[in-house]
Parts: sequence; structure tokens; C-alpha cells
Amino acid sequence: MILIWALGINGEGSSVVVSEFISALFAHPQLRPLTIVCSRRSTLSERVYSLQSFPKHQNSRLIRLIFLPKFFRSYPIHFALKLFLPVQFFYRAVITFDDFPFFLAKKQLLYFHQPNLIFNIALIWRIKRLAFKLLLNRNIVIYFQTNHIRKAFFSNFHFPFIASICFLHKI
Amino acid sequence: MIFLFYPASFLPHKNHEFLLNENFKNLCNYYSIIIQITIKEDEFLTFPPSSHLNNIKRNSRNTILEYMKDATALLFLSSFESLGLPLIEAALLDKPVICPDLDYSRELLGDSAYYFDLNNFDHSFGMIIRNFLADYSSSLQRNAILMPPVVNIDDTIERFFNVLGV
Repeated sequence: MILIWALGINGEGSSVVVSEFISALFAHPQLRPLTIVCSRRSTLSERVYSLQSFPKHQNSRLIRLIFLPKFFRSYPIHFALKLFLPVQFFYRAVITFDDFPFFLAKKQLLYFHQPNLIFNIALIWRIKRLAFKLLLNRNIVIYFQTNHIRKAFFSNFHFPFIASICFLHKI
Repeated sequence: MIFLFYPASFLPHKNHEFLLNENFKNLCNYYSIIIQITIKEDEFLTFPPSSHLNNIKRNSRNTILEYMKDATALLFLSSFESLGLPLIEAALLDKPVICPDLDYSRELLGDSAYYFDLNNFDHSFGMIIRNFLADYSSSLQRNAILMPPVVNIDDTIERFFNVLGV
């Protein structure tokens, strides 16, 4: 079972990207068992509900869709989940689309698309940056869409041991 | 009438305040430019009344793409982006792009956009808008936008699964 975690996704651009992924996963010819986690009343959930293939997969055995209440999107709760949720006991691998990685995942791909974590100097983002640093670990592979963000990430976070991949994909 | 389309949420790094700059307003009025923005209605109410701004509110992606198709060019003001999705969408629609000269825009659009200096907005934006309008009125095309190689979404999923060994 693979976990697709998009609980914190609520922005316009990120919701477009993640809903395109979910749509492609629904249509994937060799579908693997998946659990997809989003939050209710988010831009992403609206997009997922409106996917043509959504009703077919709503009660599917292969795909489990979980919509958690909106308050789970709040950063402190979100951070606590990422720090303590022992996902490695339930899932072989995790693809994380929102800002923070899971601390306890054995195999995890983090889709990094939050430039505020690198560039924003506001206090709240400094705190989030600290939380992000605490959660980073050697089991993560980070995916970047563009080279400039990969460079900026590594020059800001100084974690050379973290593996990364970078290519632009169609949306 | 010239329509510049700026699809972005109302966030500090999207620099909507530049649209309220007096020089910018005068420039828009002089050249009959309307800026179409996509922010929430209550956010737009915080703006002073401005004849050069038209808020089409937040809309579905298809509607946004329709507006982009109909616009004269894409305007983008963001200070930073991980990708800058509207830049790609505009490139795919073959729309001219007016954006800051920053790493994120250079990586996607190379030399094919109309770049201005975000730190010297007043001066450089006026200059670039005049260049754009000169090209537009003489139907001159900038360099074709050459996007970096793009992987389709199914292959992207496969790559992700391969990386994870599942």
C-alpha cells in the first residue's frame, strides 16, 4: 500500500498539480493499492470531487480516499502528524505533496513546491522552516520541478545527504 | 484596449501592490491597458477604486485558461515561485509574457519573455511595456518560447514509483 499525502494542499497552483496527479493515478493501467489523504473544503478537494473519474473510485478497493476535516490543515496539527504518525508500519512508501515530510517514513518522496520555505523571511515562515528542518531525514528523496528551486533549496538547507530528482513534468 | 492577465492569489510575494502604484496607473490609463486579476471579492474591496483593474475573481482552471487565451499578454509580478504555472500555461498558449527577470522565469522562458527589474519597477516596467506595445502594434513576435523538456504525467508517476522501489 502506498500513501499519497496531500492534506495541506489548498493553493491554486499546487491543487492543479496534485489533482492532475490523482486523476492520472485513477487512470493508471497498473494501479497499485493507494490511500490518498486530502482535507475537506479545500481547493484540492473541490478539484478532486469534480474529476470525472472520482465517482468510480470513491468506493474502490484499490484506492482509499480520505478527506480529513479542515482543521487538520493547520500547521501545528500538521506538524504533529508529520512528527509522530508512524506511517512506516502501514505503508510501503509515501509520496508527500504538502510542505512537511514525515519523520517516520522509510521510503518517502517529497514533492517540494513551497517556495516560501526558502525565500520568505517573515517570522511565521522562519518557524515553519525550522519545523521543516527538524523533519528532514535520510530516507527522503526530494522532487523539484526546476533547477533554480533545487539550487536554492540546497543552498538554504545545507543537507547534502538528501537525495533529489529534478525534471519538469506536464500539468 | 490592451488586456494584461495576472492570475495569482492575493499573497505578499505576488506583489499586487505594484498595480496600485501611481506611475503604473498613469501608464495603464495612457495606453488603455486593463489588468485582469483573480483575487477574492473581499480582498479586492480593500483596493482603492481603480479603473485599470478588473477582478474576475477566483475561477475554475478552464475559465482561467479562457481568460488567458483572450488576453493580450500574461502579466506576472511574483517575487519567487517554485515553478510559476501561469508562465507555462501562457507559453503553451503562445501568449507573450511580461514578468520579472528572476531565476524562476528565466529557467522556464529563456530569452522569450519581456523582462523587467522588480527592484526598479517604476522605470523598468514602463520601458518594457513600451517595447511590448511596439512589438504588439507591429505584430512582431518575440523569440518563440522554448520550454525545457517536459515529462508526461504517467511517466512522472512511474519515475516516482521507481525512486521509491514500489
